[in-house]
Order: sequence, then structure tokens, then C-alpha cells
Amino acid sequence: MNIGYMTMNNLQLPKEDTPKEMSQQSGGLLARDTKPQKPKKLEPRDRIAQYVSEIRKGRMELKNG
Amino acid sequence: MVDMPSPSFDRPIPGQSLTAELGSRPWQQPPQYTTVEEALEYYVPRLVNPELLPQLLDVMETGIPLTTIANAMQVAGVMEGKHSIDVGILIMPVLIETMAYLAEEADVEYETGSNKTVDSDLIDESRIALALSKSNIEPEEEIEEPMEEQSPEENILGGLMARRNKDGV
Repeated sequence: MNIGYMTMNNLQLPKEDTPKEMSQQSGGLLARDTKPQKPKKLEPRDRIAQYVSEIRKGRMELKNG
Repeated sequence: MVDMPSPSFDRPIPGQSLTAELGSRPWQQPPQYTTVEEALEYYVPRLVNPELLPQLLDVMETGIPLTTIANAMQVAGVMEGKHSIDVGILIMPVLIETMAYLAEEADVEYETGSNKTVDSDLIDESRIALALSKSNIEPEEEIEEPMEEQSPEENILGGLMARRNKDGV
């Protein structure tokens, strides 16, 4: 049983989030609060997936010139 | 004949765990690094160490998969009491990816050891389906060709023991 193989195959890389365009909302007194939400605290495996994704991105850039 | 599995001798001797005082082994103590970040801060500088890097690249060039190297590294870390086995398993993908990066930087051929081929030119099937759904183009459906029905006359066997037909043939 190759644990490294299993960890790599079970790794779920984060999807690239496209920033949502801010719609033109009214800024009236009764308007919805538009404060940016606090970033979620990621689980360790999500953080690992993020690190892997960053390194892989760098590797692909290196590979493709 | 039943194929019996061969006995495995690569196991600890019964009672081996009782040959040392409980807590005297490094892995029986609280780990030194408790988070994945701390553990990576321990490993990554070692990987990129110019004194150790050539040896690591040589090992990679011999064809040993990166998954095996990373596993050996993290098991050694657990045995030294550096981190828990959970942290070790969690950081393995980062170690593998870092080693792959170093190998490509040094232009060394390596084997990842996992089935997943990481190639930016390969497009995921789910992405293709998503693109097709956005463009409103339906994927080509496979046209099933109708099976040719055999006429009952063709099924008549012509053997010696075959049943005779109406004509007596």
C-alpha cells in the first residue's frame, strides 16, 4: 500500500475562484450590508491543497517556459 | 489448488514494544511540530539545501517514485518525534510536489508514483462538458445500429442429429 499514492490521488485541489463583480447596489439606509465577509478558516487538508496548487502552478510555468 | 499467501516476516517480534520503557521512544512523546505549517518549515529548507539536493536528485534519477521518497521522509520524522503521523500524511502531497518542482528545475527525470498525470494540456472531462453546456452544443450521441435479425431459416442446423423440417430434409 503506497500511502503517498493515496494522498496524492485523494487530494482535492481548490477551484480557481473568479472574483464576483460587484453589482450596482443602492447605498440607502435600508440597503443590504456590503461589508466583505471574513475569510473562512481553512482545514489543514484544504491548506495543503492550496499549497500544492501554488507549487504546481509554479512548476507548470517552469515547464511551459 | 488454493494459492496460500506467503508469510510476511517484515513485522515486529511479539513483545517487542515491551522491550523499552513506555515513553522512552521519541514517537511516544508529544511531537515537536504540531501543525502542517511547522512541519513544512522543517522539511522544505532541508529539501532545497544545496548540500542535500544533489543526493536527492540522484535518488530521483534512479527511478524511485517521489511518493516512496516522501513516505520514507515522513516516517523518519515520526520516528524522530518531529511530528505526528497525521501531520506526516497531511504534508506528503506538498513534499511530493516540491520534489517534482526541484526535479524539473534541475532537468532531472523523475517518477511521481501516482496515476494522476499532471499536464496542463490535458483538459478535464467535466470542463469539456461545462463548456459544451455553455455553448448549447449537444455532444454527439452514439447512433445505435439496429441489429440484423436472423431469419428462422438461417437458424436451422444442418447436422446429422438435426431435426427434420416439413419437407423431410
